[in-house]
Amino acid sequence: MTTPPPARPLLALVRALLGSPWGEEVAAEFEAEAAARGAGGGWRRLAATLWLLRQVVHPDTLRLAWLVRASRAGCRGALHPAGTPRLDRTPTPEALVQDVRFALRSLFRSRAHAAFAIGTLALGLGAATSVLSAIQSTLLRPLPYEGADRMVALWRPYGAAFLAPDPEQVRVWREQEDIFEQLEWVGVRGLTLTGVGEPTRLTVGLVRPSIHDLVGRHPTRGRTFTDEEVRGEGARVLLVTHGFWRGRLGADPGVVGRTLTLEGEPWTIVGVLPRGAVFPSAFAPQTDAWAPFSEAREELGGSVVGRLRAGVTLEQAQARLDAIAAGAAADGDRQAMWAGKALSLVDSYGANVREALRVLAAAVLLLLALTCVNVTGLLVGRAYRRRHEHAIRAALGAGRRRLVRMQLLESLLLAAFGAAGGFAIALGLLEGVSRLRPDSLDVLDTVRPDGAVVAAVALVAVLVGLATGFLPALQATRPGGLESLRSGSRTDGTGRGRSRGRWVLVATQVAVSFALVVASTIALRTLIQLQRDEVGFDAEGLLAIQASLPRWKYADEVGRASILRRMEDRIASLPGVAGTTRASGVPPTHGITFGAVEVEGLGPIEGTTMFFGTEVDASYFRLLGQPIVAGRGFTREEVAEGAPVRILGEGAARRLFGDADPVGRRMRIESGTWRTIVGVAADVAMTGPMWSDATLQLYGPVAGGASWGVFGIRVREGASEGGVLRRARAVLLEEEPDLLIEDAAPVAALMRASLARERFVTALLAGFSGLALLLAAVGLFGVVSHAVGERTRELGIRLALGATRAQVQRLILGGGALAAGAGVATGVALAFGGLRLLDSQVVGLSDADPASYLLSGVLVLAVTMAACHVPARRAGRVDPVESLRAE
Amino acid sequence: MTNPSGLGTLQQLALLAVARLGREAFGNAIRGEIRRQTGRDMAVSTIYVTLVRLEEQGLASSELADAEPGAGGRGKRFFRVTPAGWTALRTARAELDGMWEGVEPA
Repeated sequence: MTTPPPARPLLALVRALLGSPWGEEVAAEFEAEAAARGAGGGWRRLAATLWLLRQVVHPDTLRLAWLVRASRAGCRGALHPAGTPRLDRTPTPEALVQDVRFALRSLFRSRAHAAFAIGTLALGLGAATSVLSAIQSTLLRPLPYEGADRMVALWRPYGAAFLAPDPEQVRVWREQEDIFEQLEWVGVRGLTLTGVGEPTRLTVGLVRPSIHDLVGRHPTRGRTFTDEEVRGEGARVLLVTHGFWRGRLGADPGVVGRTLTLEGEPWTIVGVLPRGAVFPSAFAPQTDAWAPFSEAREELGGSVVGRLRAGVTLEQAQARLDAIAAGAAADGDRQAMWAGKALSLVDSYGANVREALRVLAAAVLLLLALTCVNVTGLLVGRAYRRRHEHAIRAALGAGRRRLVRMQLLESLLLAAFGAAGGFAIALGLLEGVSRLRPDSLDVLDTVRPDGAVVAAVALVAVLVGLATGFLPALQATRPGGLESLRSGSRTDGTGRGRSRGRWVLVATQVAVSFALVVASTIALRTLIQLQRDEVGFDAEGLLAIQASLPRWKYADEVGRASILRRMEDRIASLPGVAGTTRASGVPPTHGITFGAVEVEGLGPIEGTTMFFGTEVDASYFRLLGQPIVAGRGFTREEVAEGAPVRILGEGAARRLFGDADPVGRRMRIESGTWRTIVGVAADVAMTGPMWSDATLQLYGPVAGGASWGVFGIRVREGASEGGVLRRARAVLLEEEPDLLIEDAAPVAALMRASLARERFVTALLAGFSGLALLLAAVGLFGVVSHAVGERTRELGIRLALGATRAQVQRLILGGGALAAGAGVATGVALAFGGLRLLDSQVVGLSDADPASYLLSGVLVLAVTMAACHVPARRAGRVDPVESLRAE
Repeated sequence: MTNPSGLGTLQQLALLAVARLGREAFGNAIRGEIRRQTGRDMAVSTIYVTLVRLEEQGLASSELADAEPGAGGRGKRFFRVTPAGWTALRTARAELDGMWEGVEPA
């Protein structure tokens, strides 16, 4: 039994609140009860956390804290039996309630001010809640399993790559029972499902029956696999996941015993997995079904996942794997065969979002800090304006503690309202994120603030409340307060020095927001440019349909070639179709070839070269509108024969041959067949981060008998793309009902989709920079307003001595402009250095781009000056007589 | 809440639970006993507030027992009803019994 992680700060809070020895004792009771309630994991743990939260925030906890502290202070009998207080030093619950009421009234009196502070806090805390939720559900608790933090994946490292472990190796690993509690073979297969609607590709997880012990989830219907079904080649039996059962199988109650056709063979469903049975592999947590991991499969390879014994660390497990490898090497075996690498399974999840989340977490911390600074500024200003009130209160007998407490209560209440608003903002934000996110980040869909996040944000809100209330509270009890009452003046001469710090803070805010605005401007410009880029071919009106023939029906190449030809002919004769081609891919999905390149007469080229390209039909370049700049395209005969010919992209031709003519020369890759270069094609854009530098492009003739390929379709001008796509699909399925059709879409849409990640990061950056700019504007507004308030008397004198209102306004605006200008200047340096850190997330972010800097500078200055304008106008309206009159 | 015996309902329940539990009367057990007998599920801190108040009024006393090896090494605080507590309980019962006389519903 373990205590849920968020419980720890709560228990620490209880301990601190109650002090020794009561704190430990009550915390221990909380802990014991929470652990008992949370036993069983999952929902129970969440419920236990919520229970604990309720217990900790229970009014009686506060009451208890007061009681035990009073009794410790030697005030035994401090109470009448009924509980009336005799102590002045510690607040009674009744006095606290009174103070809360008073604070609420006081906040309500200055509604605009409070709304401003709450809005600022809501923005900061909302951003914090969303990012915390994302971190919690992707990095901290991605696996809904008991003991998920002890789950590991074991691999055989080979250079930088990880290979499937050797069966013999796994047998030895299994014997290390003091290290591993359980080790399981798992694998993933893609199998084509036919006979239930249109053919689709299922992601099938391969498992042994003992997997249920590892994941703690057993089938809700039917049974799991038997040991018999794992023997040899393995039986064709399936466990379907809850989602697949509900979706594709229509929640069929009689599903157990039903047969599905996978790759043309009958598979029997023996059971249904419960919701939340996540496949324990970082590669494919989203599976449709599970099938037996057969003995024969061990030789083919898979991966090994398992759980460490309680108390065993990842380092200890790794040390054991290393020792085994070293022992094997000593016995004369090749060490590479025996090397092992243990990775934390939790760490492997969300690896693709971790970097982005780190950046976001840093941005959120920054935002939260800015929020605190701003709200502190607002409250300090308010406390300053209320110094008379405080002085009167003090004079009437309110103790320092009471004054401090009231100020802290106000800021805590503001933080509480802010947190509530922030929570609403976070819910909206997460909804937006799961709509915007790229497909590859589907892990973000599961992000919801859970009990732990709520507790953490509540804690953060309390800290923010205390942090923002601290300075104003000090100010409220400043001994100078009484002085101000006596002189009745609105300025006591100490303001200028103190507020210098605030000007610096506000300039810093402007600097940070400028850097963020520059980042999002560059990201946006890059994105627009990537979308507008000359793609090198005519993507408008071009469709792509990727299809796989059912392998079990078409064993021979001749049969495959003839049906593919028939399919292409039928598509070509459809209304609205201007032409067709066939290839192994169209942009942005190209194949990759890499290896050591050798050019005849030039010798081998240094290092490994990576080419992007596809195998294409004779009609390919004409259909795509991709110009052949030298030589010629492939002939039909060359394609039909699979002749040893190649076409280079322009960039590749330049790289390999410089200015020389490559046509007629021969090249080979990894000492393969020598192939003649017959032409050079214009380079095409391959968008997406991975492809952006890929200027080396290579084309070969498409194999007629491939079982997998892409039909390229040129739509006639004026015809509907959607209509052609629909008709083409229908025709393909008519020819072969078991044809698996993936990615059937306009090429322009595919190109756009390949930029989804950039678009996502850009949207996030834009959101953050907008927020930061808003906060900076709010901060500047606060500081300038405060300055106007402080200098009212001085401004009155200036006006009385003949200064015009415009001059006074310029004076105030000038101060704001100075801070904003200094901020932008610092921001330029900050952006220049800091953006390199973000470079891995957005292509081209670190490029010096004067236009983006200029644009951001204008935007930031415009917004900040607008924020200064309101208080400056107020300064211009100061009535000299009123401001100089003694109070 | 106040009656001549000086005991509120909650205080009576807590004292009686302490009495029923004898040597086993520590925080969670007291809470559990009240829940078992009355079905009332009370917050941990409510119980403690009640117990601390009882102790301050001299109606209950508590002592820290030695740390048990199995309980995470922490000492548990055991409660006991003091003679004054017994008197208060008896008074409360006598008062209630007196008041109930004649109004027993059929």
